[in-house]
Amino acid sequence: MTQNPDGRHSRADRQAAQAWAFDRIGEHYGEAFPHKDGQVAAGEWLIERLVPGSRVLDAGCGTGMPTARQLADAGHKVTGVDISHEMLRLARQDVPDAEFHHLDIADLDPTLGDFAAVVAFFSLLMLPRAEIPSVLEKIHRRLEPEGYFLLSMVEADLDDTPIHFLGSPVRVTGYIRGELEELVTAAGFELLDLRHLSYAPASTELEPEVQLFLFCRRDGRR
Amino acid sequence: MRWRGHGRAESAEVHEHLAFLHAATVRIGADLELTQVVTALCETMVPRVADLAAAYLYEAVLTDGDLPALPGAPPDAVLRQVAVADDARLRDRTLVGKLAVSDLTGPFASSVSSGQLVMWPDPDHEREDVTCVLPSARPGSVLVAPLRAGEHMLGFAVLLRAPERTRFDEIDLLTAALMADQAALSVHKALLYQREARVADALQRSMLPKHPPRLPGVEIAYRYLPGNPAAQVGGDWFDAIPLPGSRVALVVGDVMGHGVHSAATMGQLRTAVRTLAALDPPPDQVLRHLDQLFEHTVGQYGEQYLATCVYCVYDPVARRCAIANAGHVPPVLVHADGRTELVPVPAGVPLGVGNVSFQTIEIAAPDGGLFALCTDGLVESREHDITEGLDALRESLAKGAETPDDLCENVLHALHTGEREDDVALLIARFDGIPSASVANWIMRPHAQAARHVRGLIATTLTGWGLEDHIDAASLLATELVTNAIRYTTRPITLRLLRTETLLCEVTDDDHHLPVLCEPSESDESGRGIYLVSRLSHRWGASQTAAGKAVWFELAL
Repeated sequence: MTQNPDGRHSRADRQAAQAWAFDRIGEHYGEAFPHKDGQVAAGEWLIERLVPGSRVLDAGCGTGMPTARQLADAGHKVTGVDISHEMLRLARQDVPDAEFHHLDIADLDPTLGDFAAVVAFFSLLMLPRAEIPSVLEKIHRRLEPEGYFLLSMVEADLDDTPIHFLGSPVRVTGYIRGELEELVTAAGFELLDLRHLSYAPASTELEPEVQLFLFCRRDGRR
Repeated sequence: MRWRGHGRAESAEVHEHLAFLHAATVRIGADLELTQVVTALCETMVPRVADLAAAYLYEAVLTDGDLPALPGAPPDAVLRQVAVADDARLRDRTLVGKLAVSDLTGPFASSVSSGQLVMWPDPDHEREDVTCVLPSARPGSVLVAPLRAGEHMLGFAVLLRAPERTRFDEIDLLTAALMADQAALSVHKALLYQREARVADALQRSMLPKHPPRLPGVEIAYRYLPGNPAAQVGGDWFDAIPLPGSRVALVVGDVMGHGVHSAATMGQLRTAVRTLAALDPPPDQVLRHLDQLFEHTVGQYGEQYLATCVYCVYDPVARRCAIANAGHVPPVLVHADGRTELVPVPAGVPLGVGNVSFQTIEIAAPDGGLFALCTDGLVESREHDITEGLDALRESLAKGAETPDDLCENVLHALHTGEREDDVALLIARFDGIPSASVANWIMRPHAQAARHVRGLIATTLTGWGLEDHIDAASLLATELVTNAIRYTTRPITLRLLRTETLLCEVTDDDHHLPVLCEPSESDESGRGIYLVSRLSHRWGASQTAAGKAVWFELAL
């Protein structure tokens, strides 16, 4: 892995490293996080508000479980994107009625079309802080007016910080809830609700975490 | 008996007497327990030598006190009758059960003060008073034989003959003296043996934890039972060690060997396990370090010492258990519904073998389940192999009990029968778990805003927990811990809040320097934080971990 003179990794290197790590983590992720109650509840929140057959983007879909599966089962047209081939392989297997693209969430482009909702569950935490505002803007642009945006993050104060996750080195970013509220508001989202949930992974190697779920809507002004 | 002549008949008589002496000597020397020894003495004397025989021992002998030495015992030394044997002729005689040296008169007084055998009535002396020991009707003849081992006075034996029988003669005197000496030596040996067993037991117990720690999310009980003192086995140990992040290490081990040495080795191992556990490496590495340590320091008694050990870490928040084993009996997992299973942890090899690897396995530890760790003394005996023993243990555990302490009691009652020789350690931990809603954990960069973040997180979290009254104190102290932590580290720090009967706040970082408590002075900026924590918290502490340190405080709710 090469480093830029400022000590940061180049974007392509970072993507490659993160993808490699998640290829390795693969199914262990599901073992360490067997219950995704908060995520499932957020999916239900969304399903209650969408008309059937809505287009939904699962940004950083991972294995497609549980969210892509849940939304597809509710009759929505799900598009999933992720940087890990291994995760996508599992997703295509488990959610054959959704479409999946190998794409970094930082590269969301108009060819994907517009969506009634975008969900980004624990995926933005893979990006450095510096890239997150622009990704939020790209998500904003992919949303229809009044479209919903559901974001979940692990509450932390980190910026592209190397940690060991299930035996693989990854770099993660986190915000304290106030910072995150400011961030989504600044990106043109109306914050409808914020839920937090303490979660203990089923592994003695992982510490418990506080999960933040932000329920947002694209405001009409932009 | 008279052996005046040298005829064939006399020779047969001599043979017969020698055979008796031999049998009596063997019998008196056969036991290693005080009262058994003197009982054997009395029983061999009746009826052949006397119609009644009784033995008195100094209380100091019975209580492992300082033994009286020749010449003479202190007047306030107390003697107790510990054995008696009689035949039909003297069955109605009563003897005094307990008396002081100052109460002794006549032949008893002279025997005790001189350490010599005394006969009453002695043809050469006037009749003296024997009522101090024999208050009722006068016996025919009385013989008082001191029980002494070298300079140590242990007590005396009194032999009585019914009036209708001839008085004691020289042969009887010699026989009695010989047997009394034999008994005294055996008593003395038993005393020394008992003393060593007691030292080993005291040492062993002094090095075992007394009361299980009270920890959130787990209830722990344990028991230790010494082995048969004659079998001289020991060295079992157990421990429950609180770890950062509200986890606990559960340990049971067994040093192979016996007596004081294995107890001492156990003490070293237990200390080593505690020290290693605090550093919080995975269980297999704890065992690997122990194995190396064992090789270099512990096994230096000139004997090959080995120890087995099982090491588990229970995480009540993750509801998981990580386990590694060094040749020990595997833990039994009991589910909430009473199902039991042997935890399939690789058996490993004992500590001290050297150069082997251990393996950690992780299993789910659901709420309401429990772990039982024991030593082979509980599940293995001469009559039953370990498979039968483990089956019995599982059966007993499956019956359940109100508390782990009750369950320990029930299990020992069911499994620990009298014949067992080995010592026994049993540890039972019930998994109560801590709901994840009662835990909050954050990783933070060690920069200046950390203190502000911490105050915000504590305020929202404690409000959510209905603990608004504690926000100010928790914020103040947590800010101090975080400020201390970010002073030295460049890597992210962790803040954890845990709500149980108390509020626990823990800050971990990757710097190894533990905070030191000192009275703050005007100029001393750094000592103030910990001083404040120590004054305002219910409890606080700091421990080193492999990655750095954990500093915590508790507020009473």
